[in-house]
Amino acid sequence: MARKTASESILRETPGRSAKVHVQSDSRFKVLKYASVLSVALIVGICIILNLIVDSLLDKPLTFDATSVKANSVSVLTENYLDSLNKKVEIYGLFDKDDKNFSLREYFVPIMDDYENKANGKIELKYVDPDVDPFIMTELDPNNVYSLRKYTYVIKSDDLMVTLDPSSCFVWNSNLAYYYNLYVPEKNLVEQKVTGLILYVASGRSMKAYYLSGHGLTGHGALDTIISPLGMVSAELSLKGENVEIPSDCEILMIIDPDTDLTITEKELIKTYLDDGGKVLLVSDFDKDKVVEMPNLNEITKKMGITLESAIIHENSSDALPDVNNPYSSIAFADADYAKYLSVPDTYSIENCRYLKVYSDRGENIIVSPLIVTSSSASVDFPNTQIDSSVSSGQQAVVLQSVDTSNNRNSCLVVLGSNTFVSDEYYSDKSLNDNNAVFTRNMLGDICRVEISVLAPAKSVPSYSLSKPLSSSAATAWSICVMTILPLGSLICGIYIYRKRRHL
Amino acid sequence: MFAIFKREFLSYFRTPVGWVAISLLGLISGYYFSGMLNSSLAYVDINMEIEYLRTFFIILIPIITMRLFAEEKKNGTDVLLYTMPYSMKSAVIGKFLAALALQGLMLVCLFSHMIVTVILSGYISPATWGAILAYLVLAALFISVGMLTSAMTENQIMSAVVCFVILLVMSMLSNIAESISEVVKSLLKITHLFGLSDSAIYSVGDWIRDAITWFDPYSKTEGFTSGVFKIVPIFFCLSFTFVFVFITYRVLEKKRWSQN
Repeated sequence: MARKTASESILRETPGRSAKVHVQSDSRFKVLKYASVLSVALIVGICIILNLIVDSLLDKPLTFDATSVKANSVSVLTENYLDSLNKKVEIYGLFDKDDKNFSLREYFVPIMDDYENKANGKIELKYVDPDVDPFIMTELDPNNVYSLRKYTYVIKSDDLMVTLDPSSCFVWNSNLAYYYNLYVPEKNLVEQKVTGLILYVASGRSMKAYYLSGHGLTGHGALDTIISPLGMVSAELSLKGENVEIPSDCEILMIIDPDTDLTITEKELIKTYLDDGGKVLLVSDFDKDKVVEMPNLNEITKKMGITLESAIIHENSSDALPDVNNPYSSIAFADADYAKYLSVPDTYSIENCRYLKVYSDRGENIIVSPLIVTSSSASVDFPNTQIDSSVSSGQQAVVLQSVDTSNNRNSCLVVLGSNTFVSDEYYSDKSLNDNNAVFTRNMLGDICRVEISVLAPAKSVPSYSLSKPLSSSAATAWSICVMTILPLGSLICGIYIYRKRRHL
Repeated sequence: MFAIFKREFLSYFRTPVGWVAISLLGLISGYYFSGMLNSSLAYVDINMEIEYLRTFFIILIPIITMRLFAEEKKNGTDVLLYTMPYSMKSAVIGKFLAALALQGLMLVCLFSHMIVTVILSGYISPATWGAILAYLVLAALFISVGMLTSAMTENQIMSAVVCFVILLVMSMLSNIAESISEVVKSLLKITHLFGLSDSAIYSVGDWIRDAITWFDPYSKTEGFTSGVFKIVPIFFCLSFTFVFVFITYRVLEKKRWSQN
C-alpha cells in the first residue's frame, strides 16, 4: 500500500547493482530532500524578513486615505500646526487598537495614526487596554481627578492633561436618535476636537469654559467643538450646595438656556465672579409655551445693564424671513460697528429670539453694545396682553454685550437671545463653519483674548441610507430578486450539470 | 499554463462545485443585502457586506480548493500532471489562478448588489474598491493554503477539513494571540521566572500577542473597509500566497520524483 520511494525502486529494479551505487542514490535523495526542505525554509524566512522590513519602512508612506471626505487623514491646516508644534504631546488610547467592541474605532484609529505620522515625532501615540494593563489608569491619573474610563483618549503634555470622549466628536442624526434610538453620525468633528485639545495641552495654559449645570442644561457638544480651536476645554460646574466656588481657571462661565431661575447662592457667586473681572455668556431664547420668570438671573444681567424680557422678537421684513409664515424664524445681521471691529459674517439664522433690552439704570461704567440685530422693521410680541408701549417697531438687539470698565475690571456679559448660536439641534443639520458658529467662536475668542490658531474643517459622514426610501413591498421585491435570481439560477445549473454528467 | 487554467476553470462548471459555490455565496450575500434593504433606515453599506462575506472564506475556500489536486489523485490523473509537457510550476499556477478566477467570478453577486444600490440611489464609497481588492488578495492567500492541503492529502474531504481548520485558526489568530499572551503572563506571574516586574511581564505578554497577531491576515486587511488603503497588507498577502504556492510546488515535485 505504501508508496515505494525512488531509492527503493532503484534497489528493486537494479538488483545486480553494487552497494556503492545504492548508497550513492540514497544519499542523493537525502540531499534532494534536505535541499527541498531548506528551500522552503529559506523562502518562508525571506518572506517574513521582507515583510518585516516593508512593514517597518513602508507602512506609513504607503498608506492612503480612500474616503471621499478624507476622514482618515488630517487636513493641511492641522498638518501645518503640527509642523509648528514645539512641545511633545502624548496621546493614549485607553483600549486595544484592534478592539472591535469599540464601535467608533474606524473614525479614530486611522486619523490618530495620521496625527502621529505627520507630527514628526512630536506626538507619541499609545494604545493601552486598561483591562490588560490596569496600571495605566493610576499612572495617568494618580489622584483620580479625571475619572478615566475605557474607550476614551487621553491627551497630555507636561502637566496639562485632558480626556476625549469619542462620542462627543460627532454630530448625531437627531431624528434617528429620537424616533429609532439609533445613533448615526452626520458630521465628523474628530479632527476639530483632537487638534483643539492638542492646542490646549500644548499651550501650557489651563483655559476652561464652565457650563453652569443644574438648570436644564442639555447637550453642548456643538459649542464644545466651536470653542476647541480657541485652545479651550469645557467642564460642567454646579454652584448648588455649600462651599462651592467658581474655579480660578474659569475663563468664561456659560449659562445655556436655563429653564429655572438661579439660586441665591448662584446669583451671589456669579455677581462676585463678574466683580472680579469674570466673563459670562448667557443664552436664553423665548419659549412662548413655557414662560418662566427669572428674577435672580435678571438681577445679574441688570447689574450689567441688560434685561431679559418675557417677549419674543417678531420679524416683519419679508427679506429677513426664509419662511414668511413663521415670523419667529428669521435672518439677523451683524451690527455695523461690531462688524468693523471684529471680522464676523454679515447674516445669521435666529429662532424664537428673546427680546433683550438695555437697562436704563445701569452704572455709568457699564457699556452695552449690540453685536447682532434684526432688520429695521422687527417688532416685539408679548405673550400676554400687557403691551409695553415703549417698544415700537424697529431694529431689535439679538445679541448684546456689556462690559464693566470700572477699575479696569473689564468684566463682560454677553447675552444671546437665540439658541441657534449654540444648540446641538441647530448644528445637527448645519456645518460648524456656519455663520452662527463663526460668530460664536470669534466673539468668544475676542472676549477671552484668545486667537484662533487652527480651525480644522468638520467632515461630513457619508450617508449610506437610500436617498429615496423604499416602501416595504418594494424592499421585499428587491430582496426576493437578490436572494433568488442568482443563487437559484446557479443552483439549477449545478443540478442540471450533475444530472447530465453523473454517469460519466 | 493557460491551457491548465482554462481546463481547470471550466471544470468547475462541468461539475456542480462552481455552481454550488456561486449559489452559496449568492444566498449568503443576498440574505445580508436584503437585511440592509429591509432595515428601518434602508442603510445599505456594501463595505459591511464585504466584511461579512470575509467570514465565509472558511467554508467557501475549502469547497473550491479541495478538488484541485486531491481529485487528480483519486481519479489517477495525477500521473498526467507529472508527465505532461509543461512544467510543474505551470500546473500549480494554472490551478491556483483558476480557483482565484472562480472566487473573482463569485463576486458577481456583490457587483449585482452594488448595481441595485446605485439604482436605488444609495451610496457606494470609494473605499469599497479597496475593500474588494483586499477581499481578493485575502482570497488568493487562502486559496494557496487550500491548494497546499489539497496537494498534501489524497482525500478531498480530508483536504477540505484540514483547510477549514487552518483557515479557522487564521481567522481566530487575534483571539489565540490574546489567550497565549494571557497564559504567558499568568505563568510568569505565578512562577516568578526571570524575576520580572509586573510591568515587564505585561510587556512580554503584549509582545507575544503582537508577534502572533502580526501573522493575522484578517486584522491586517480590515482597515480597507473603513477607507484605509494600505499597500503593506496587500504585499503581505501576496508574498505569503507566493510562499504557499511555492510549497505546493515543492510537495508536488517531491511526489513526482517519488513515483514508482
